[in-house]
Amino acid sequence: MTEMSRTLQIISIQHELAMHIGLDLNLDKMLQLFLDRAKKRLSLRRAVVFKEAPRAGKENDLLCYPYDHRSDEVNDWLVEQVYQFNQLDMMTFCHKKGQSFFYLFKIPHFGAISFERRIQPIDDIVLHALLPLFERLAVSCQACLEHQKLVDEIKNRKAIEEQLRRQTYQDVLTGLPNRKMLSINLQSLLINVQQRGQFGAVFFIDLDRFKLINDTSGHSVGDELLINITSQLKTCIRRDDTLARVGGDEFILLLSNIGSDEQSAVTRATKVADKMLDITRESIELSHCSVYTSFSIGIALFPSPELSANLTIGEQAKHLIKHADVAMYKIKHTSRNGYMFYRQELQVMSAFRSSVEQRLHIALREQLFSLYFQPLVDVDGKVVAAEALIRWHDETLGWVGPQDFIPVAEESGLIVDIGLWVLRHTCELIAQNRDWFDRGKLRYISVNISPRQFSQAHFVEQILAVIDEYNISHSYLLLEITEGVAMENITTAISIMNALAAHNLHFMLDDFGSGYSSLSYLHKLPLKSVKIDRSFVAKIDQSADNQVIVEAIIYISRHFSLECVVEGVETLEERAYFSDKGVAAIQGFHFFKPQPESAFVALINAIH
Amino acid sequence: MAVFTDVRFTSDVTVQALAESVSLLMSSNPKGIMLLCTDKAASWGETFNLWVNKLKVPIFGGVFPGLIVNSRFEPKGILAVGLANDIHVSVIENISNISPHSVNVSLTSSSVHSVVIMVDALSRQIDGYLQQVLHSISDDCCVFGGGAGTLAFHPQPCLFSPKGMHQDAMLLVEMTTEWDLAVGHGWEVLAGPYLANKVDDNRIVELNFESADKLYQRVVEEHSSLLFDEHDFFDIAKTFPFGLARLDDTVLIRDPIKVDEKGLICAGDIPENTMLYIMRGDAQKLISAASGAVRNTLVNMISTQHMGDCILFDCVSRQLFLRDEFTRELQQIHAELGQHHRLVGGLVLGEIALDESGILSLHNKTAVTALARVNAEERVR
Repeated sequence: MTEMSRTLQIISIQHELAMHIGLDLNLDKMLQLFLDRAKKRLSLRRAVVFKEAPRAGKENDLLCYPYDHRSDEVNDWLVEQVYQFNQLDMMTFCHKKGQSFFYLFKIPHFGAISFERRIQPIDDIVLHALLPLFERLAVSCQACLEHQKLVDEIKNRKAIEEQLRRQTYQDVLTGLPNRKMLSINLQSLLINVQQRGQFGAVFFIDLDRFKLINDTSGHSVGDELLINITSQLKTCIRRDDTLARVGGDEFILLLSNIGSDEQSAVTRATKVADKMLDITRESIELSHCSVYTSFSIGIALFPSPELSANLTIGEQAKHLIKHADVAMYKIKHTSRNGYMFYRQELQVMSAFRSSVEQRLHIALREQLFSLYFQPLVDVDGKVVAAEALIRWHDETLGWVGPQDFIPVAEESGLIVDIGLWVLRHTCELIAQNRDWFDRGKLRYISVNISPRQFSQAHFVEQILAVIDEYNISHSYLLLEITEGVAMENITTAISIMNALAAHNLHFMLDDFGSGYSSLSYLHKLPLKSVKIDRSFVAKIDQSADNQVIVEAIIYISRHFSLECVVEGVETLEERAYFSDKGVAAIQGFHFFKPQPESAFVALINAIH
Repeated sequence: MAVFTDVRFTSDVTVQALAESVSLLMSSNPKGIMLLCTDKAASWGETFNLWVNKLKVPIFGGVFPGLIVNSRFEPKGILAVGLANDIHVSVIENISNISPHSVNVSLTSSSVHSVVIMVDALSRQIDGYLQQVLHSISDDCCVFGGGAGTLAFHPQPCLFSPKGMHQDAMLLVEMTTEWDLAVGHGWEVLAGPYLANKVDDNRIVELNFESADKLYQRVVEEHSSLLFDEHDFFDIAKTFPFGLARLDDTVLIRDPIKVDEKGLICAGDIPENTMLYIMRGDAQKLISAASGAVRNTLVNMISTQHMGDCILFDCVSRQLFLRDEFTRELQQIHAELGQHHRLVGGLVLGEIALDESGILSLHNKTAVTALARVNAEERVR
């Protein structure tokens, strides 16, 4: 090669390698491109960049590029050489090991680079030509590091923003949008709906009996159930629909574009609701148990004439959710496991319900309830017992029937205090009239225990404490529970009933036959009596079917040594029918209507 | 101990003839088969795939413009070679489109002594994949091979593996056999150097900031009595390849095979900003370089080692350049090896060899002879 060609070759190497510095802002890629080129152009077996890093003990922690730098005898030796080279005040150094020449160069403020050349050493003149390149490489490495730092900062900021967004708009457990996100989505949906002339729907979905599952099986099971339900609900909807979790067991679904007229919107929404109800047809399998659950779904369609044009979009959204909630409440308190479309009448009922709840608080605080007693008689018409019944006259609402205020009290939780009030007053009456029982005028007075009261954590202790305040015999009282209360959790129910039975406090099963009607549990529950539901008693003299059922209940009760009580006897014919059936007591308007306390006291006192 | 269990050649390029050859070969109990075929095999397609599915031993190979059997050049035929040692064949597909850095190239065993590479010569990124292979092998592993395809230079299936035929792929054949390589070309600098300032993989767009094809034609026409306007481009270009000057004063040859509106297309990548020479060849020097490389390798073999069978991957453009004298090149190489040693191989479109400096390159216009190394104790057995 001529002198001129040699010079050109060196210039071309310098030029070529310099052109391959800084071709990418990613440090790995940038170095990879440079090292690949250096390997080829300088006929190298290997080229590695080492970044300075703190060194702890014997561990070498120089960072290598490319990253898959293998640890073997040669590489470990090389790392050690590089480490030592970094301590020296020189820009380049050459080691010979076996057939290879290892050239080390400083990359200022970054680290070092190593070139391995086999057999032939690199010419000194070429080595000198390389030195300025590493200054350039150092600048490029720093630029890459700065760039990476900037990218990392942006990534971190985005990650934090995303996390904040999630915390603000997402339910942590299910990953679904929360109420805030739902509100935003609903408002934008309402704007679009107005523009496109398409119907949409808001579903308020409540998981029935979720609280009971949570209380009895633990929160982890409850959480697992919610996650499971979430994924199943998602299968019922389209990708663009919004499913949000807005409370413990409450979900709201937004459906958009479900039809251009109300009828097709109703059809479409019904289809989705049916699909959701299908989920609960079979048990839901969780990790350690399977549970049955059901949904109560309230549906409000939009646009709706009730959402006045005077309302802002935000107010319309609130109203829509309220409407769906009202419809959900209605279905929950009628049949459960079903759905109902919102109608204006429901709103009226809901308003009434709100007033009832408001006034109930006052009634309880100011003791505005009164207690009525309905006597129970034997087949001969002789009074043998009584049932305590609460009545409420409100100065604003007038007389409010138990069918109207008991569910509200149950829902709001006021029923617990109301129940205690009833129990306390009944005990007080018994305490004032012990002679009724001592002289055999009455065997007991029964009080109704609500589901909510029964499932209170310290129900047994609470009941015993109240009764013991009045120092009365426990046998003068009888506690009435419905089938539903016992069946919510039969194991717990048995344990509570046994605990009270041990204190000579017994239970009567109210409304028997109207609910689960499972005869199998009759012998499991520690009951003293069953009260046959009034629906079987009405016109029993004319209904062969009811006669068969009632006689079967009487027969089974006798078999299990349970007293049988009949309620709702209103006619002479009905009374006549029961005259020879061996029932323990009969209750009904035919004998006595519920009496105000004073009248009842007078009635019993009058008995000789 | 022979490295080849048996060698079968037939001039009939059909799957039926292949089946018959391999059937005869199987009686020598090979552990693997190397299959080299000429052009017609590129159209075997599904017939080959069906046949190879039933084959009980691993197979690898390719379609090449010619075959080498001892000192004979065969322009047409099938060459099936039974291998006595275990082989493992893997295929990397779609190499033109998938970045070599995103593919994990790793060998199946650390006891591999050599890797034979066969690649579709028309694929892009061949060099990138070769560097990935280099990264995964141990220091004492020998690597050699060649580019497959035909002189028609159009994309078609040209590689054989146990899975069937492949196009735009690279075969990696791991072997326990040890080989020594003899690499030589004999080309000399005619003009240059020129700076390849604008390049796109294997296409030289500009030389010395001037249109590459114009500069090339001007320089070649100055040194030759031939004019590009009157001849097919490759007819002239095969005599004047490019040379990449390397720091160890060796020159890597690059064949310009086509010219298009964007530049000169070479058989193998050209690094941007590299320095190129235009080379010239002399028949005697080319032949001497190839046979001389073999002689040097034999001299360097240590006393406890002996040579077994040999594989030769010789560049097709050497044959096109040497014409009738190509047989003389084969005869001289075979003579250096010794007539009793079997020499098989093919004319390839780019030769692959790992040199003693540990650099794996795709060469052009070069002869790569692989000499199987047999230890003395094995030889006694």
